[in-house]
Amino acid sequence: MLLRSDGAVATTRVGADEDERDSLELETLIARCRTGDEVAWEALVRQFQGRVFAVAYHYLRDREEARDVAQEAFVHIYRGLASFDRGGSFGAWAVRITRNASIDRLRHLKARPALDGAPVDEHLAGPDPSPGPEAANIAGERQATMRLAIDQMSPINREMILLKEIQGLKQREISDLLSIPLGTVKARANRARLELARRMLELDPSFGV
Amino acid sequence: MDCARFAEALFEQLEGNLDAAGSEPMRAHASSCRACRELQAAALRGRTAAVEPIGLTASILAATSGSACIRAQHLSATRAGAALYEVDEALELHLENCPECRTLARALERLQRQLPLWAEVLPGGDFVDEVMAATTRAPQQRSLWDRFVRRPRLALEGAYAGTLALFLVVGFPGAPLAEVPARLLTGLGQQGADVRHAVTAGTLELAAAGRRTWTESGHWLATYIDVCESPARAPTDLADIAQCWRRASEERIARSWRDHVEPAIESLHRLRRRALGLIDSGGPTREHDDGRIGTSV
Repeated sequence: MLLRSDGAVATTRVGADEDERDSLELETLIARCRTGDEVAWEALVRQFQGRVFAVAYHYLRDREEARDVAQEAFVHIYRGLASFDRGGSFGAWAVRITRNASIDRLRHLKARPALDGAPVDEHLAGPDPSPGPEAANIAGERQATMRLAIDQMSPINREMILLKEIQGLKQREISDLLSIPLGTVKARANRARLELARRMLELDPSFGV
Repeated sequence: MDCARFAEALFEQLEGNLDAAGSEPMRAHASSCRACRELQAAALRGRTAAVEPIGLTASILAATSGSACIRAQHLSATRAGAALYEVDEALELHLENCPECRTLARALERLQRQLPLWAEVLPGGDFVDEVMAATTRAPQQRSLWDRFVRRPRLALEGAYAGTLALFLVVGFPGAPLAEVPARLLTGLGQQGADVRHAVTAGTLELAAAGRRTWTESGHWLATYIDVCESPARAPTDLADIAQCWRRASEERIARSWRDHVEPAIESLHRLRRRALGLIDSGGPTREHDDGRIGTSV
């Protein structure tokens, strides 16, 4: 029997069909962008703005800087669409460009090279919590705790959490992006997950109940 | 049967692997051993109650491979990171019996559900408009020459280079064209005076033509009104008066235009040619017999 990581029984075929359809739609959109279709490009920006901004914010921890870098990343993406490998994942490519732009900006700023102790915008600390004041409060606290736990992680593990768990990049894509062997990616991903889980349990023992 | 063998047999019994013959020694031992009898009763009430007091698994692991927790946690982390996984019954059994690993596994699963929610954070505001302005509405890939020419510093650099070149050519006493600026300034001063003179003369000439046209027209009009309104010469038909006046006016104005305005315009054209000639070539000038300045071209 196959299970998903959330414990539900897998519905492999349906999921694969949806992925295939999304991939085809994205491919069509990219093809239109290459012909100079501004409507398609705007749709692509709308589709990926959250992801690009989230990656930039993860590295920079400053809303304005992240916004600036996200915009810069989109300019790079726009100019590089012609050279984008159609066989690759557009999302992974966008993450790679945003990561490089963020690291360049960090080098330029020379202020927070390792992101440690960086201030966090509370309203950007995580996804929108579920509705209801009490539930929202609990969810908000948990998001803040999770952000704190991520901040306390080692930079290598933190980046692995961003790329693998948050952005959902495949191990092969991470291996290419970070220029490390596939086996190292697997081992690091496991270590990162364990470190985050342990830190979360230290900060909030009820997280494992 | 001793107590340890009874405990082992008890597991087999709970798993359903013990037949009636196998159970007979257990009954015999339980009848004579109160502790084992109570253990069997507790085990039949619940599996956990049977395992925990003994701590047999932990004892065996301690004496053999050591704790299984590290491996179990590693497997839990791997399982959490996999999109699909096969159920590992051994791991499930360990998690069922190890609260620490169970808690960690649950934390891992919870993280796995919550972390992907952070994949997107909307930047808000007019972000899309800003990106569109920075991409599609911005100048596209420009040629090398275009990029070179459009550099902000180009004007400054050009001015610097031009000044340097000018200095090298004419800027010091031994320069190849050191005398050119002085000659140029002298010529320009003379030609400038000629242009000023010509423009002044043309303006005065045009004003005089206008004045003459106005005076003659006014004089003629006054005369004609006097004649037409004279009781002795008054025509009876008003249409004839209007016709007469219009024809006379047209002739007079045409003559006045021909005699005064056209020469003035022609004179202005000559002045313009003269001025252009002075600016372009600095050619010789001459003065007409009637005192007007004209070009020799």
